[in-house]
Amino acid sequence: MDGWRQNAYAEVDESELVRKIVEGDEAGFEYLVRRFGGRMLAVARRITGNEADAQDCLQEALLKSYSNIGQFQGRSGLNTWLHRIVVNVSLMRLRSQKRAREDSLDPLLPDFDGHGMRVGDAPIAGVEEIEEMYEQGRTRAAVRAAIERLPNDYRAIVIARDIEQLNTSETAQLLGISTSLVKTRLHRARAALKRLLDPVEI
Amino acid sequence: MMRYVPMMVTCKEAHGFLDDYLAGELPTKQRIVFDWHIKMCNCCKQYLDTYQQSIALCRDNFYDSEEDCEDIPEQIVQGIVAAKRTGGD
Repeated sequence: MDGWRQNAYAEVDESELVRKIVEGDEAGFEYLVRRFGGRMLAVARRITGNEADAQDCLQEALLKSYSNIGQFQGRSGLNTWLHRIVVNVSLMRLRSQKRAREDSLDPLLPDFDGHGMRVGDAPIAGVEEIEEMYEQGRTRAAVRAAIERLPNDYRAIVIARDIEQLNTSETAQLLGISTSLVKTRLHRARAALKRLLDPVEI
Repeated sequence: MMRYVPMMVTCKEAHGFLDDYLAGELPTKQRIVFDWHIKMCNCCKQYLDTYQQSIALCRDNFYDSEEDCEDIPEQIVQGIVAAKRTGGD
């Protein structure tokens, strides 16, 4: 698209942009891709953990948003609406990915003695890297490294519940699992993350 | 000698209440039991604090900040626009 035409769209408010796209304005859709695509790609990259999947998810999300743009009500901003679409697509992709090797969460869960009393946590391998990131002021990297250690099914639930703030039913519906499984996995994932991020001295 | 304390639970049992407690979904009786345990048990109090803080840390640091997001590469823009024209393939 020509630069001057892009600038023209920058002056258009969101409801007008949506109206133009619904009416088949190709340049309007291209503007939407440029305006929101960078942020959506960053979100997909973060959730899927790899560039190729992120680009696929971005394309799927933008084509889906194009097909459904007539349903955009304007109750939330376009940015929020598109964010939700790319998150949903990326979480579904994450769930379908099978990683070559996934470590069990068991060593990351809290220990209790025979009477059900809490006992001190044994040292765990691999947290030095997370601690080092945090000491270097790389909090985001430390958090991402911790989340990355979760098996995909657990990671998807943490993202849906704790990062996207979906409730248990919404998460269960999105991921196609029962609410009790959402609760169980969320509990294990949170406990594991708490343990991994302990060196961060939160 | 420890006297009988009504509604006392072990750390392990209290641990199982954590998420419902944080979601405000713990039934009243269990909430009272949980509150009582947290008041009496420093280990679980500390665990609850860091558990909540790690949730917040994840929420606040998972995505890039708005200003850290780069523009979408031109090649990807063109790919998506072309895919829309051909019906999404």
